[in-house]
Amino acid sequence: MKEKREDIEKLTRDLMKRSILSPESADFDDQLMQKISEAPAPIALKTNGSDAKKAWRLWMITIVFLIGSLFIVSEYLAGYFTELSRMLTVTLNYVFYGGMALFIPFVLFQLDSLLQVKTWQRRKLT
Amino acid sequence: MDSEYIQKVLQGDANAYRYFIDKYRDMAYSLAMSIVKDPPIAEEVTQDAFLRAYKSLGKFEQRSKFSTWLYKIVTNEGLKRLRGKEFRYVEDVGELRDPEYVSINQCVTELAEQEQKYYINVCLKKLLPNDSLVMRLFYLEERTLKEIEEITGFSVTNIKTILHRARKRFYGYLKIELKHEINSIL
Repeated sequence: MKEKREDIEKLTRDLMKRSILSPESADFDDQLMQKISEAPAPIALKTNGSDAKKAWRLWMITIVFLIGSLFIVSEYLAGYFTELSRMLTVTLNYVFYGGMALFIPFVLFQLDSLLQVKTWQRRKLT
Repeated sequence: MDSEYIQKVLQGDANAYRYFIDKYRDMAYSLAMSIVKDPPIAEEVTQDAFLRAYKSLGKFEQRSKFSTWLYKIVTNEGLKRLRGKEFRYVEDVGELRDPEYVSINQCVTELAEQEQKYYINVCLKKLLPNDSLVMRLFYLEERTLKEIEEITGFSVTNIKTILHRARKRFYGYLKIELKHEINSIL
């Protein structure tokens, strides 16, 4: 059974090798090269998407550590320097809300790639 | 070899891009034909895909092969032209037994080369866009399921289902097209 299936696979592969097509227009290559020569030249990008993502991650980790350390320091100083502690708590709030303000667009950006709208659209065609 | 030419193009040598056109034109066009089924539109799709690949070459990170990236662009350009259209099989091909696959194959191989090409392409044209696209990627280009997943965006399970359905349909259409020749063999 398995052998028969493998034979059919091989026969299909041999048949399909004859299905390659070429463009019918004789000047296909010239037309395309004309378009290429008129298009702006591509430029190698130094900063790619993954670098940007790494930078985002670094920022997020820094903010989390900053909030954490401020929280610990303010807790530690609470009994001794009340005024300083209050100021630190206020700063902590600013940092926290600032962090949230940065975090929301980040989540939305990630969500956009997660949704993969194009894949969903293609599935509709199958 | 591809990466050498990518560097040349990125250094401003637009003529070096001809290498990619010579190497991948026919396969890109065949894939475009699988999707849009119309020669003039398939040529447009192929040209647009090559042009888009050229413009975005700087963003190509070379994590995959250049051809995989290019075929992905061809697929996207082709599917863009089909947006809003629905495709369904109207013709029933019935069930095929294993010996029939062999006799159909035997019948096709006995034809002249040009005739073989003609009948194979007529039957591929009758398949749904996704079916003929996956058939060409798997059997003609010999891509792995993972690579086809990357090019088309379909899941591996979906690709297996498409392949099974498309192969059966393809042979069914060949059987219809070559009815008289097959009957003389059987």
